[in-house]
Amino acid sequence: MRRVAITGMGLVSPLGNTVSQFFDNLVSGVSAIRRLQDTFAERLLSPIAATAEFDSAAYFPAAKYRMLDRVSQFALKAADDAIADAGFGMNDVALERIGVFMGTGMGGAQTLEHGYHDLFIEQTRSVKPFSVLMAMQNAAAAWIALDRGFAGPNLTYSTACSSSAVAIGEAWQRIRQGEADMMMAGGAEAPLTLGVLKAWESLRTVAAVDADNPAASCKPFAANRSGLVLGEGAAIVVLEEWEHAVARGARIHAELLGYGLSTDTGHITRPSVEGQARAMQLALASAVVEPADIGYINAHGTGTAANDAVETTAIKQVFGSGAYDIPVSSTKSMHGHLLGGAGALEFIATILGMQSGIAPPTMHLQQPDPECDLDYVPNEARKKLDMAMAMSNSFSFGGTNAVLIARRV
Amino acid sequence: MNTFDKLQDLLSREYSLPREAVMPEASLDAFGVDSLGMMELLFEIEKTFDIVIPNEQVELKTVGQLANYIDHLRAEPRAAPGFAAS
Repeated sequence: MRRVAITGMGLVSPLGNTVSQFFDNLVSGVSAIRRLQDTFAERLLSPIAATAEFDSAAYFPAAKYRMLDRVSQFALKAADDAIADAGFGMNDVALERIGVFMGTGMGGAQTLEHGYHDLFIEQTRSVKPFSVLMAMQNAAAAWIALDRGFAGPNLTYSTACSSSAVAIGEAWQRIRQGEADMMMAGGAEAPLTLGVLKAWESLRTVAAVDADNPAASCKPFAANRSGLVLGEGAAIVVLEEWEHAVARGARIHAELLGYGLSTDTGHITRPSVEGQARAMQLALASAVVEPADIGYINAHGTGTAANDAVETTAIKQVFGSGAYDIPVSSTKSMHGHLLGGAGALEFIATILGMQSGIAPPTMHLQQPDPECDLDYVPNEARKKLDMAMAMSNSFSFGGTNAVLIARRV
Repeated sequence: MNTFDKLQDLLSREYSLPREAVMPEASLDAFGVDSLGMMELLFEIEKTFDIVIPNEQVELKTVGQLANYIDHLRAEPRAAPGFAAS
């Protein structure tokens, strides 16, 4: 099997739009979660979210901007940065050997909502002609390929909150098996519309606003956790066949070493210990490493009662007594839950942590939960750690569990 | 305001163009409005001029041609399907 290097990273996130700013904020324990300023905020029980500050109207030419849903705007910016970071010229590579795999849970949700508003409320005669092209789930991946001429496989995965981890894992497979030499892989989500926020609220999974400090509303693994907080953005990595990267003198951030995929079949939302544990075991097996090799776990850690307890138990099942020695953190406490973009953003956090030997903290963890008794790196980053390998967990409604393992280089 | 001025407003606003670039002989393609983009522009024109653009093949390559076409439609208003004539 061919080896896979990670040679580029790019993102748009609630914690900043450059990789370094994102990581600095994570290490400093900065939360991007705040009260929504939108006019519809008063209609929400929990009017909080983690918004990304990105001036997309200034970033794109006007005629193109009109064709892009917010989710594609994020994705294209993240792709541009990932490509620049990977430092390849279009003459260095065979474009038909480069593919794009993206993940998104809700695609162009904002376009759909605007269209419905016009049609049902304003009673307009027609909707925006670009509606189909903006709302389709594969728009972001398609635009990345169009922009650059990447003519290899172009796929969009939609497995809710694990979408972008799946996209990265599947892209890894393509390179390993020789079907592509480079893959742009990641995900994007732009779910901060009234309709989508209401839908999550109705499911009773959204955290209550912390009255003292709204930024602290998402409290993964804490006894007083009350749910997730939605976020928006995109994250993309450039995966590259190892020898290909070496031959062109690329700077290699890390090696993507393993990927595990499993499915919970018990319930549409309730996670299962067995399913999550099996995904971690499969990732370890594919990486051909032992549990003791893993120096850090970026948890799925949504901040919901169900996930955090189940994930804790699953980690213990896989890592045994060694589970207590591994720093495990949920960065969702700071950047919120990017749904289809979460896995990729957190994978980047995992790589950056491993490279620098810093475990970002789980913030807002003041009240320990007896059911959640691992080392969650509470409230303060831990530095000078030796992490040769790290794991990133992504689980989802619908039950698709995806786990990625990276190795330091 | 005449049709051209109104169209100039619309194009400069929606496509972030300086007004002086939106001249009668200016090519729409140069503004990034290709055949697909034209669908979106016609949608904006329908709203702005309160007209209905029929499904017919018309070659519109410049701002001037577009302004003339709008004038032509305004001169011969057609009933929009599903909308009662007032």
